[in-house]
Amino acid sequence: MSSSNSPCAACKLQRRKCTQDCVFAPYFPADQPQKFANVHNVFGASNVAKILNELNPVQREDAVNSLAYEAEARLSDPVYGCVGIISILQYKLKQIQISLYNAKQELARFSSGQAIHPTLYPPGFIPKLQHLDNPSSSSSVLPYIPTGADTHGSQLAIRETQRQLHQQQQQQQQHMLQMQQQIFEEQKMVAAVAAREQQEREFVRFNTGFDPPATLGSINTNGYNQRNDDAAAAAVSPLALGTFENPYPIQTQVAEPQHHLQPQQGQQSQPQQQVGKQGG
Amino acid sequence: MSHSTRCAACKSLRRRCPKDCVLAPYFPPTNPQRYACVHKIFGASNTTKMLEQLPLHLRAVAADCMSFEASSRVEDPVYGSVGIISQLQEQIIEAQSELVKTKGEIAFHNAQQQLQQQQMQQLQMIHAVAQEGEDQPSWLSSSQQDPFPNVNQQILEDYNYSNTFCGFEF
Repeated sequence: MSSSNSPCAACKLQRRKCTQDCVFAPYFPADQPQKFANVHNVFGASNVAKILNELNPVQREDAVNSLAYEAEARLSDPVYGCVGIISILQYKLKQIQISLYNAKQELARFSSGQAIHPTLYPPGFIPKLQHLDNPSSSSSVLPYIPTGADTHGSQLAIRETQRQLHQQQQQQQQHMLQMQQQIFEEQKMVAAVAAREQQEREFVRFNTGFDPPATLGSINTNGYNQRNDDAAAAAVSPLALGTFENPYPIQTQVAEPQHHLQPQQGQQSQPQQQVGKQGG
Repeated sequence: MSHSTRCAACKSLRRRCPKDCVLAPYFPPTNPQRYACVHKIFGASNTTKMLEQLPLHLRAVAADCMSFEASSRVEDPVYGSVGIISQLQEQIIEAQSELVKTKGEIAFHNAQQQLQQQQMQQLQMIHAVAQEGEDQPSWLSSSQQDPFPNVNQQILEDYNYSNTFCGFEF
């Protein structure tokens, strides 16, 4: 709540009187002038006011914070903005998912290996082992060694486990094929994005005389510094209340414009039509 | 480059579309919705300003990204594309923790396997030693059958003969 003595950052920048019902005042305090400056540069004060007026008062703070984040991303990266960050995160997620899939495959091999080889010692070996082994070191260390009496039962169990493992492997192979197709497409997009980032850095270096940050996430704003992923996760987590329940439509939604990024050189009509479908 | 028809931006703004219109290449009249979102969120002057700051070969990409961000914001006025970012971050954290957990299980199984292999080798050695023990003569392993376990058998025969006179015992 601002008084006429201390205008909010928005009213200060616009050099106008800050009234008691100023829509910006609760979210753009006077001690954070850069926040509103960024938002004003990218979106414009009137557009921001329109967006805030359409929302419930409860939602406005999150909306302002997300607008500030988006504005800063766009100012840091005038070409890709938030889309660049999304692209990098998608690539990172795919890499981790591939590693996870490989790790699960390896874990499944352990289970199948133990089921196929139930006896670890030759038959008839056990009595001598019990006689000769040091009793103080025997019990808890040795694994279960099935005797001849329950060999048949263990063979049935082995067959059932093998069948289950085979089904699991088939499902995993199908999933892997789908993932590989998605990964290949994403890698192509990322390669195109990386090439354009390099061009952009050259452009910025040419224009400003200094190198831009290596990673697109280097945003220095309160709570939205993405240099540290943990900090970013913690900072953005209050906003992690997105309306996207199912990640796959989101990825599809995000992927569509990035498909456009690849053929953009010289071709504009076709991708723009597809993006238009999103905007509807 | 001349524009016989107005671009979506100039149509929306109800103005003449000049030959050097900055927005025309990226907002064709065939897709009015695309520019409508961008106009609502960024505004015409901000969009033009941002595109003018970029070299020509990067403007198309930038226009696409702005269009995507604008449409995300129209669909989700509270979080926009930042909602996608936060959800991706959550998914990454979740996948990473599952990966760490799975790798821990693999390490556990690896350690178990190594331990079993070591025990197998030890037992094989013991078994080999036990087998060698079974191959020796039986009377050597039982002291009750041989009263003179350390004496050569020939010496015993000679002694027994010497205690008899031509085979007769005294």
